Amino acid sequence: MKNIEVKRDCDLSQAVETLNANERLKFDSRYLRGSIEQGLGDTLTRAVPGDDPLLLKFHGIYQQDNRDRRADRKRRRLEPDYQFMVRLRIPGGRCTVDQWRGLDSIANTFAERGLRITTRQTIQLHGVRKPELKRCMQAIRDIGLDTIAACGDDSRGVVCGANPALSKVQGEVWCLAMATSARLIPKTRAYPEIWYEEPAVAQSIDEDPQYGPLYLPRKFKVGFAIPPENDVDIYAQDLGYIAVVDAGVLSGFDVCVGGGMGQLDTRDDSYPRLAEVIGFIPAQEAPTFAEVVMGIQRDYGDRMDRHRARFKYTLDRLGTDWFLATLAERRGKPLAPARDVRFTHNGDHLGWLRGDDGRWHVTLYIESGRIDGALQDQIQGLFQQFGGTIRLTPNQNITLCNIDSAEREQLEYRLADLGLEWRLRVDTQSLNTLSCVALPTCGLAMAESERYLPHFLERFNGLKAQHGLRDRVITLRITGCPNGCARPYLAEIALTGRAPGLYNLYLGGGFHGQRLNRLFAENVNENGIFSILDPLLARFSQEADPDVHFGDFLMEAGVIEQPLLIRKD
Amino acid sequence: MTAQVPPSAAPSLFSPERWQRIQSLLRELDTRQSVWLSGYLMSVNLRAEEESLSASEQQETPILIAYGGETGNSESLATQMADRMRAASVPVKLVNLSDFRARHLKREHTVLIICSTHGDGDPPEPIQEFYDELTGERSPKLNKIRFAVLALGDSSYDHYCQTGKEIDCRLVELGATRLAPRCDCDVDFDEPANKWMQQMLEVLVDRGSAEPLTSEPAQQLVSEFSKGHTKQNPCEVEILENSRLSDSGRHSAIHHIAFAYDDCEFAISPGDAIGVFAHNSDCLVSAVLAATSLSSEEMVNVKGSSQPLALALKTALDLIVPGKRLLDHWVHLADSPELLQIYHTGTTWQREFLRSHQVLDLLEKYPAFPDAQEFVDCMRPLQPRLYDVANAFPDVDGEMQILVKHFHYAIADREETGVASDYLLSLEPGDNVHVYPHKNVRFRLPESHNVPLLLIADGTGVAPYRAFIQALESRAERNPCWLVFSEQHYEEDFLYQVDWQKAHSAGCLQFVDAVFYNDDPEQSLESAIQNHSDRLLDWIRQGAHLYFCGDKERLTTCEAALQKFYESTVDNPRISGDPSWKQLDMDRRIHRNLY
Repeated sequence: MKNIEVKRDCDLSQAVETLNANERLKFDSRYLRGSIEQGLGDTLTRAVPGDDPLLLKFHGIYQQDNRDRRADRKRRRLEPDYQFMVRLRIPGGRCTVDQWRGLDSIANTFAERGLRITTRQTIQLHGVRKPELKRCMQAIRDIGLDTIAACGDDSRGVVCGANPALSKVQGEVWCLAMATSARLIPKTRAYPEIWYEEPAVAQSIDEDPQYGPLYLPRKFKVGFAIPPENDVDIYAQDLGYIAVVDAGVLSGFDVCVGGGMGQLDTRDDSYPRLAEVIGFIPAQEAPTFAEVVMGIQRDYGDRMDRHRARFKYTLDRLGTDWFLATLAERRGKPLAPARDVRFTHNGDHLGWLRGDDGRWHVTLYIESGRIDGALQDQIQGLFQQFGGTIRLTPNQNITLCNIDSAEREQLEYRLADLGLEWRLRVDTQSLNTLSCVALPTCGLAMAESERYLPHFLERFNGLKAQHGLRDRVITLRITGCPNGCARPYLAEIALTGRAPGLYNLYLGGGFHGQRLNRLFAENVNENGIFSILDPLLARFSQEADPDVHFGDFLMEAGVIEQPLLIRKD
Repeated sequence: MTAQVPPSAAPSLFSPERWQRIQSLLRELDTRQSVWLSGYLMSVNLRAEEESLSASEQQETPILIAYGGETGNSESLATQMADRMRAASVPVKLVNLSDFRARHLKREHTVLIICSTHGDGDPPEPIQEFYDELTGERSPKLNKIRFAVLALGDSSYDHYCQTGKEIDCRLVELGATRLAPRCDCDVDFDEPANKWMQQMLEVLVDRGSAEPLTSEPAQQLVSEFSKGHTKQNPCEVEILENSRLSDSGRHSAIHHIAFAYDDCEFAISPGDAIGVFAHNSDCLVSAVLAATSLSSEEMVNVKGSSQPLALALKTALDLIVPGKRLLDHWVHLADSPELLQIYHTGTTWQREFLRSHQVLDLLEKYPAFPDAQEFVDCMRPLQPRLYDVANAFPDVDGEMQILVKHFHYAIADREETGVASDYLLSLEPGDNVHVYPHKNVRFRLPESHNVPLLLIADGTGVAPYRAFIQALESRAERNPCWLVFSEQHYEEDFLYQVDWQKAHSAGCLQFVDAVFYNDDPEQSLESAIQNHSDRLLDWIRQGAHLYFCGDKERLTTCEAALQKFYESTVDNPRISGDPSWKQLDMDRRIHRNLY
């Protein structure tokens, strides 16, 4: 197959000086070293000065400050309350109990507010201070984990869905997710040199061959899902693998590309996009295939306009035909046609679930994924009775995996004893609700999210109860900004922050994450939101059949325009 | 042969009777005797002429008025003394003991020393050198000078006026003659000091030529000779900002306070302080009124000004520390056997009592009904407090900035807070306070723009360094600067962190080593410096000036450690030729501003 000629006026082929400032920074960083080491030693500030915070992201570290304290500290002639969020790389969210104990202790030693499970199945530690940062990173190394590429313009932590009913397939898919992660992460020696203080070895000219000195134009997210469970929101990934199972055996993956949530409210050419299914690959090809796709995005992604740099825009800019041709050329053959796979479920299954191998899995609800205070101690206590594997779910919950029947009894007793039992059967609304961290630590947040969620949820549940909808589940997601950390554009109801107390209200997403929602009202406050939701829920209660989801109803009733476009052009 | 004496000399020089006697004596002499006598008389006359000549020279040698202290009181009194002497046509020479060598006392004939004591019996920091030389082994013989000492002190300390007492005794030991007994003054020194000055005038000025002495308070004399605002003539300024810099939960809050500078008729150099006249709290005033059953309206006279008692209590009198005079007065008023017993047990017990009781303790424990004026007369005056100015260019900024730490102290098993910091911390923008300039001539940037500066501070001691660094920023040529600072917590107590960051970026502050003893109790100011011992030694070799500012105990410990380290290092013959620590001090390369 021949490659299709495309315009290459904004990508890697252009001179570095003409590219976005971030590109020049990466180029000059000597494979992500920059002056991070010196910045860590600067005791006049608790920040890492200059542009190095951008490089730190590639190391899995976000420089933040407590925004609640900004004004007070400015008046007090102190710098902002700088601190770091450290995000681990835990492919597929799996870790051992020993690793959890280690994380628990690391959180107590170095972080504030415990541990936070993210929607990409990993742990974030908030509030780590600069003088502790190296020791924190070394402690993470000591439990067999790292943070490489947990943020930054690179391949982010690979997510992997669960389906205990297909335990053998699940195991295989998880192994492939691990292999994919290992293949895609940056290989620069900067990481062990800076954090582990390993000696610098002679630098090769091309220290990070999959990436090159400019890395990727933006983040690149890979996920695996095992139907019928779409717990990872596969259509929100840059590259999604949907397991195809024939007679209980993993035969390969349907591949989807170009998903992405982030958008800018200020730009019309910025939009969330669902990934589109483009074909089928054999199972074992997943890691190398990911590298090929990432390579295409590396070479053709927009490096002049960062807001148009995600893979979804590359695909829309250059076209699916071009992509498939380029992919076939680099891969050596075209893709086989996609199989027909179906998802029927989007969230987590709480409580006990028995796998096809006879072993049990139990999932505990964790509000906003935050494990701190008494809960942290309770979880720690629970794990004293448990020696197996833990899985962090993409819905910010926690699953204890592969429990045999005898152990289950003991665990049940322990769950009751620790007062954790209710987390196995919370109201399903909470289970289908997500929020991002937002204030006070996230630098992007324009409004509250995690801290606001409990209040909003209580009022929302009250309104649902008024309309007799207590048991009807509606996916609800709140984020502090339009960037989409909690994947808001896939929810039936979503709030994205615009200003303190003001949100954009999105309605009509598909319950299984199969359809984007639409902007329904801009800059509305809580009362405004509820005055919009009240009549809609009233109609939903009166007019919809019990098996119809709220988002689907809004479309069918014509409240939301159809068809919902994958993209806005 | 009989010698002939011309009779014509008699009427003009001698009385007829005396002349007769001279004549009869001369007639008995032979020629040899007459010749010898004439020679003798000639030489006697010459000596007498010499003597009368040297006596007139002595009259022309000015009287040395030397002062030493830290708060400016001794300087202010010495200036008054000098002005009054000059007014009486007596030549005087005014010197600060910080700039005076003890052996040069030999050159003087009359010396008046006005000297304060620091804390409990220590010499004031600026006169330490003079004091050491005077009291040391190589002190000069001073049997030709006569002197008098006016000692300033605070009777709430055991070693009250100690430095003045020691100088007074030492001068006698060295052979000098007292002109008058030493005069010891407590914090309310105006009146006794005025009497002493009057006494000096009487002793040193020929009565005939002396100007009639005025009984007016000394302030008037001073204001004639001083321009602008002074301690005696403070300036009323508006509070522009009062910001808490420390965390809201901190026990001893630290505030940044800005005063309007527009109406101030005085200049402030980096390193200078301002004196602030604090007020007692209304709560304390009410308590004193209640305890004495006095009326707030009753008019009393304080330093010549008539005012309601409540105002005097609030603005003029120390309502915390009881003086000996109050005790003397109260013993008679209160008629308490217990108090009488303590009183009559002896002065040590009295002092102990005064130290463990505050004014209100005394008033409430031993109730009495004083007369308002008598009560006011035996109270100590409310002293202004000094705060180092934290900005270099008040005229440009339009304001003077200071750092104030809320002072807490323990007394009689309870905790109290300082009157001045209570007052300052409670002020709000728009409120007015009275301030005056206080020169810290020993705490200045060096004249050289090249020598490195090591600025060491604990807590609010960083304030003058902020002014230093602002001053450096305005220069083309800047001294290398190294700031070493200690406080409680990095995140909450890094005073002026943003300013240091800016100065560092601008190249005005090369190194900052901050120590936070609640974060890391192992670290100290001295360890932070010794972590860079090469830099310390290099800088000292390059002529560095070392500054110590803030908490006396911490910084004294720091200096002692640095001195020990330095001396152990320069003793090494390989790097000989370095000055001793003492030499650094003598060369005015060590600057201290401790409290």
